[in-house]
Amino acid sequence: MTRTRFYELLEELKDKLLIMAGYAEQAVQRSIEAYRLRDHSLVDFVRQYEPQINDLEREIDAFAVDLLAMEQPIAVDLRFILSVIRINADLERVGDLAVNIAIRAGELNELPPVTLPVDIPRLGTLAAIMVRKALEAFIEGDVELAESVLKLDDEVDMLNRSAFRALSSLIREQPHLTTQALHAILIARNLERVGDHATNIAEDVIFWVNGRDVRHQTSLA
Amino acid sequence: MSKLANAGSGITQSVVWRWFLPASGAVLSLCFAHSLLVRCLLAAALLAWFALGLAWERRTARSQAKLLAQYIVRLPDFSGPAPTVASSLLPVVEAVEHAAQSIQSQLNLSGASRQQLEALLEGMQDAVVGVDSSGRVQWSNGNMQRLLYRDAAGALLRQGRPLVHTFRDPVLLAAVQRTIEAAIPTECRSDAVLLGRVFRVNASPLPDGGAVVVLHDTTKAEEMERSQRDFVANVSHELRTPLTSIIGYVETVMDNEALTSPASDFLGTALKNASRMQRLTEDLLLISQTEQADKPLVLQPLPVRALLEDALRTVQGASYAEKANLQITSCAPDEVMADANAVSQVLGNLLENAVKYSQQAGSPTALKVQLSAEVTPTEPPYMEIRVRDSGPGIALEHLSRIFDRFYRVEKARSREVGGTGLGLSIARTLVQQHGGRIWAESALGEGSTFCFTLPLVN
Repeated sequence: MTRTRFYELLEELKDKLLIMAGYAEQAVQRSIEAYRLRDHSLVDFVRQYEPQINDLEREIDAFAVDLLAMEQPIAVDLRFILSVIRINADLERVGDLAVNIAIRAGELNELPPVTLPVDIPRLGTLAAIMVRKALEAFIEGDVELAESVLKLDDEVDMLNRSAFRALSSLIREQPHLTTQALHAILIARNLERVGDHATNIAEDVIFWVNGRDVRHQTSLA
Repeated sequence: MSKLANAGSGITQSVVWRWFLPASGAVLSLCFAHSLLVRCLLAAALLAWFALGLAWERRTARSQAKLLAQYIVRLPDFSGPAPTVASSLLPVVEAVEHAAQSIQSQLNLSGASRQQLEALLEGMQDAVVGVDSSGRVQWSNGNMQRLLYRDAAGALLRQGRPLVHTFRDPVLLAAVQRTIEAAIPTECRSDAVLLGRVFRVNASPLPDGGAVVVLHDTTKAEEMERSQRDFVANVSHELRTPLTSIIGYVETVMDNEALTSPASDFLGTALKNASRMQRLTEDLLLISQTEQADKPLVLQPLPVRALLEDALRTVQGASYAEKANLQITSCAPDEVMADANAVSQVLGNLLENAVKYSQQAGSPTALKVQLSAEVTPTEPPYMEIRVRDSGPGIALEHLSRIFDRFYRVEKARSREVGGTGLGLSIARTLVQQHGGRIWAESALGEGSTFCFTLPLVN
């Protein structure tokens, strides 16, 4: 295989990953809407995306492994393929978490509506922006942008912790709202995990571009 | 004629002075030379001279042609000296010069149209991007770049990059892909281009195999629509609860046998109107639910015969259809890709209308409603379902409006049969959500036929 063809295949790998990223991003966005609009049809919509995300994960993995085996790349090309494999796994998990959020939102929608002391849509928007920025950093190979995602993670973690505190107090003060509060805690937790996967993607971008391993250097939730 | 005509001093003159005269001298010397060796040397020198001359002339001609080409192509701003060409070549030069001028004027024209087009694209309120046949960005307007220059947006559009680098919405990408592959316009709704914003996306094919994608921001329009819908839904919901209670109590009171005749009549009127109001609130709730753009249909392959039979059974069981003769006249064995609940709602509304309005027209024994389903001979083919009744028919002026909300052909008659004026509007919304169309064919005194199409299973 010529080098030109190899670089074409790397581009193809990148495009495939971005298509999968599109599904994962949509799943997160729809799951947040399912909570915000109390719309049960969106729960099914998110579930419909899961098999497509899983199929694409397998396809991208096979593609990347083939490239590794046939081309035996080195340096930046090797780091790129390794990053794609890791980002692929992260995006698949983002898809799973979106399904979890949607299911919780669906169960919450079946209960009487109550005002909870937690801003789930804000947390969701932040998590979605993190995923979007991390992917943008991947498209552009932009280390600075990737580092800004790591900073955003702290904000998401803080929101998750304050949501936990507020909802725990609610359970103590109004035990009849325990079910709703527990669903909200789990949704916030899942969104925080989405943010963590966005952080992983950003770290992979830094590894790909600079060869620097920045994992486990950010503050823990 | 241009300055070139005066410049042509003739290539032949230079050839004579440069090559022919020295060569003639050499030939003369050859004639008068006595020694064989001298003759041979002179002959060799002569041949070498001519070979050199030929090469020199070729080189000169090539550089002249180059100069000439430069002169012609850069005609408007050519500042150097006019090239020297043979007078025999002047007609050719003239023709080429004319062609060059014509090409130049064409280029100027296309440049002007390009500028106009660019100004038009820049002035557009919508964001526009053009992609080639491989889905790579070729150009975009300023609004598109401004739109994407936000925190919640994707990567900026760059020429030559795949569209997926900026727009990762699977729905949008599938629509553009379809336009490129099938060379047909496509439309979709996307809320993934920019977080918190909704766009209507139209993709149209370009002659070179690519596509032009237009994004129209519908966020505010959708918000307004949603609040209107929510209002209708809330009001309908709030009305339904007291109405159920009113109907329940009126029915209970009416069961009392000691009730006087006028009181019974009054209660009967109250019950009839309360029931009508209940139907109206139910229809309003239904219409607000069906018009929710973000509420997708659950599409699945459904045998059309089963759909018709189900609808027929439901209507046959209703009290208003006791004396109606309902039948399926013909039915294709194919399957449609549809939402079972939605199709059942459409068929139910059409059959209910057919039975109720036909019964009003004349003798119940003559009432006939026929159902049929056939595959259309169009490309792509659709399933066309027809509901034909033997009622009084609808005048031509009403046909185009009967699918509008609250439109009634005869208000008094509609009230009598308990119509709300929403059934056909609901049917139209549901059919359109499937990508089909609905229409009515009728003439006064000849009955009516309501037809709608549904996509077939591929």
